[in-house]
Amino acid sequence: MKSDAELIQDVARGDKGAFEAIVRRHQRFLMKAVARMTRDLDAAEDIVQETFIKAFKRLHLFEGRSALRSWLYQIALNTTRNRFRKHHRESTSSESVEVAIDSKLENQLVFLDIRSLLQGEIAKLPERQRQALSLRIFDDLSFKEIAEIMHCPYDTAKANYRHALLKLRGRLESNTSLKSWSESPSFSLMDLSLSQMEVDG
Amino acid sequence: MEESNKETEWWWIDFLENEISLELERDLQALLEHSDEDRKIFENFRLLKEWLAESDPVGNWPLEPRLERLCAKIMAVVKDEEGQFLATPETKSLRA
Repeated sequence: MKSDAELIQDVARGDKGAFEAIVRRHQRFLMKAVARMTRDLDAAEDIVQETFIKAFKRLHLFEGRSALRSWLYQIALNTTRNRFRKHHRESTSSESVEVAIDSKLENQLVFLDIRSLLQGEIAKLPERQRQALSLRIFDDLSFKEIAEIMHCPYDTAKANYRHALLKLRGRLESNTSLKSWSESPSFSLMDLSLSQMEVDG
Repeated sequence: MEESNKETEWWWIDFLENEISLELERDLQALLEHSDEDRKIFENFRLLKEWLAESDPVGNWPLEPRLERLCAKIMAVVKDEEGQFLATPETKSLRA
């Protein structure tokens, strides 16, 4: 199997089929990453399409200092931000209503669905921490790759991830609906896990 | 004291991520064997990570049918695109 660098050289020689191989290799990662930001598969599909077309047009600018995946992710991130900015200008009021409804529902679902709670808490993290956490946990990237994508030193990528994890643990333990758990001297997430299994069962 | 706790928690996170030196790994393994409190801290991080992995908002979304279509749409546009690479043979060297 050819490396990304070899495929790019093939594209440079006029082989558009090589670009298709690049698309097939990276489209799943980009679709998931963008869908996490948009929460809308149709929007994600449009953004990823735009990302690859931009990448094709600018491939001569890719110097190979970072992984191709990191470069593509950056284009996708910028494209998503631009879309959000445009959407925000068009519908600021309806967006704030959605957030209010979401947070109310979250509180009601704490005991029934830890996953919903975590999703809500992840959304509240500072962007850099959320990005590091998402790339590590959901996309299973190494800290080296995360650092490339985030344009930061290796240790900073790791620190963002650690802060995110610590914050989430703290929020889970201090959640009002979980007060009875956190006040128990023997409280641990393991207790919660058992409780969750009972709910699931 | 708080700083020290924070450092210890960072070690446990690094341990969980296999991002720790061999020497420190041995120390933490010993703590896991002999300290209930440390075992609990580590287990909580492990469990949190497990839950997080399961809480991927798009984890179960059906991507497969879209990917084939997406690739076809991209290539249909690319087919008609010139692209800077194809227009100018002088390209920068790839250091990857």
